[in-house]
Amino acid sequence: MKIAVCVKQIPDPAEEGSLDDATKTLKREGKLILDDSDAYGVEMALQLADSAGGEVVLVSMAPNGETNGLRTALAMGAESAILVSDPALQGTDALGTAKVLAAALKTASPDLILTATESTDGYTGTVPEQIAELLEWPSVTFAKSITIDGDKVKVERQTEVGYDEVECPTPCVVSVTAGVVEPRYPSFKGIMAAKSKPLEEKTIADLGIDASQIGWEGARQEIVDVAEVPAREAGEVITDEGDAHEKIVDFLKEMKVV
Amino acid sequence: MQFEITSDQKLFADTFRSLLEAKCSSDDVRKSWEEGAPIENLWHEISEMGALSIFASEADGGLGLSEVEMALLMEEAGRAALPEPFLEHTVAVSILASILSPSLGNSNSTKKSGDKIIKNQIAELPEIFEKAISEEIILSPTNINSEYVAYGNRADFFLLAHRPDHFHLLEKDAVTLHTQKSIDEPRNPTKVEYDPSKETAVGGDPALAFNRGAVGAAAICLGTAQKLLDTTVEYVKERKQFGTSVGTQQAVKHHLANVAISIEHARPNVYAAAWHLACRDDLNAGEVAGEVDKAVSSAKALASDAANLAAKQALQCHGAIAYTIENDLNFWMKQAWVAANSWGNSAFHLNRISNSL
Repeated sequence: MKIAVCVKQIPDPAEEGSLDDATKTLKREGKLILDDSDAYGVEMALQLADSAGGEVVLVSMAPNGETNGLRTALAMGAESAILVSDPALQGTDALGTAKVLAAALKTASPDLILTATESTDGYTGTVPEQIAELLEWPSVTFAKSITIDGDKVKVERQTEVGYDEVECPTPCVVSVTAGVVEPRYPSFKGIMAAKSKPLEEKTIADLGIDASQIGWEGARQEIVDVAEVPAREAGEVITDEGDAHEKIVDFLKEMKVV
Repeated sequence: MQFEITSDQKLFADTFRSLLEAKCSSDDVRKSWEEGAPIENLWHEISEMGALSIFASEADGGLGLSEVEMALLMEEAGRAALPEPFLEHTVAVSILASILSPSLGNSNSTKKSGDKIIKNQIAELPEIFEKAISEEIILSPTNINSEYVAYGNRADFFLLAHRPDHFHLLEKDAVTLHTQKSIDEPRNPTKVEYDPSKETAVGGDPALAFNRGAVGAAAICLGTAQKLLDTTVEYVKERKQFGTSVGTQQAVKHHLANVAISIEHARPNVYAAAWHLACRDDLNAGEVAGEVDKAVSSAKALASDAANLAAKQALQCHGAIAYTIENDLNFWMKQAWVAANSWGNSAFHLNRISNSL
């Protein structure tokens, strides 16, 4: 089985990010790293490939040819990677991203596509389903567990109250909930081996994508304004006059905690 | 010429740091100290990552890396206050690697003196080596300048520098251990009583092993000092007196600036010493013989001073709270004091430089 994992390379969240004044989007000039939320998909794919046999291929896009995050995922154990890199990708919105990834995924011919539920720097949470729609494949969201059973996958799909058991024929797209597996640390041997693993770079022209569909020109989303999060209001200070406990209980009742 | 740390070396260090941040938190370190037991599963995870086999050749299942990578990993070990015999085991593995594959490790001083290469009698040496790089056994070495083995309570085998020219390898059942208390509690410095014989002699190069240990300890000093500085900078920003953060006062920030200068001065020297060791064959063969020892001693002297200064100023800037066992700072201060004095303290290394001039 060939499992493709969509991975995003993002600015390191440990470093203070900044927004471009003109476009109101996150500046991505420095080193990019593998999005933590994608590490769960990579781990899930590696476990599936270990148990069911097969290979894991990574698919990503970046305007500037950055490969650092992909190297990390290759060091974890993925066999190969496809990076769509093109200056025209600058400013691409969620649907444009899905179009590019779907086109790149087609070239890999996977049996199963795994994604995160959403990226840490974008949080639109729409790309996995858009990819499925563009490929005309079925899609399952919020997977906490996946098993491969012949030509279908069995998925435990996380819900607010527990989980649903879902079956879905392959090929399909499954988005993986963060935190459901523990991503492995790349071994030093894996880091050394990652250098020689195939990493294929493609442009949008290679994928036959019209430049007007992507980038700033093709974006249907526009960031109109960015504002500071309002400062938290000071809490209420209760001076105990013998009834403080009652006020606290009333507050908790109001919050529907008790 | 490549002067910077390579992207792979950076990724080794970053990955090791991620592991230690997740599995060797200050809570884990505290539990290990209080219970006198290793952090559960940590040694296994370190081994799985490949960090125990950096000095083993790729043919032997290792990574064939050098002292430069060792220094980067030890810096992270210091930053995490890793309560494991990581440096000691790594140095011991490097000794065995050089005995089994002489081209990997023996320094020129040994090569010049054919009588110092001892034909070892221990047939199980390859098996012991294989177990050591796959976490099954822990090795601890003495160094030529100390009677004590660190983490003696954890070692399965001891590599004992009997004379300056070779080591003896003995299993723990074949020696008598006299363990002392250390302020860095997990270290358990141990005096090893043993009977050296032809059968236990394995060769190796104690001078080279000492230099590796000194560079490793210098890197631990760096990581420890950086952690102490980072923690203290955060603290003096938060702690307020007279309506302002104490860190805004010159009397505080100048202390911490001096620590930062001291670390930044030591760090390139430590990396340079590691590089000198990695290139020792070329350097010793040229016009710069003796430069390796000088580079190592410069690094350890500067890093020891940085660690001691960082511990002193961290304590000063935290105030009395830092003296308490309840404050996590004590793990790093104690590690700083001990690492600064292990594998030769600042005075020892300055003296070694002085003697070489």
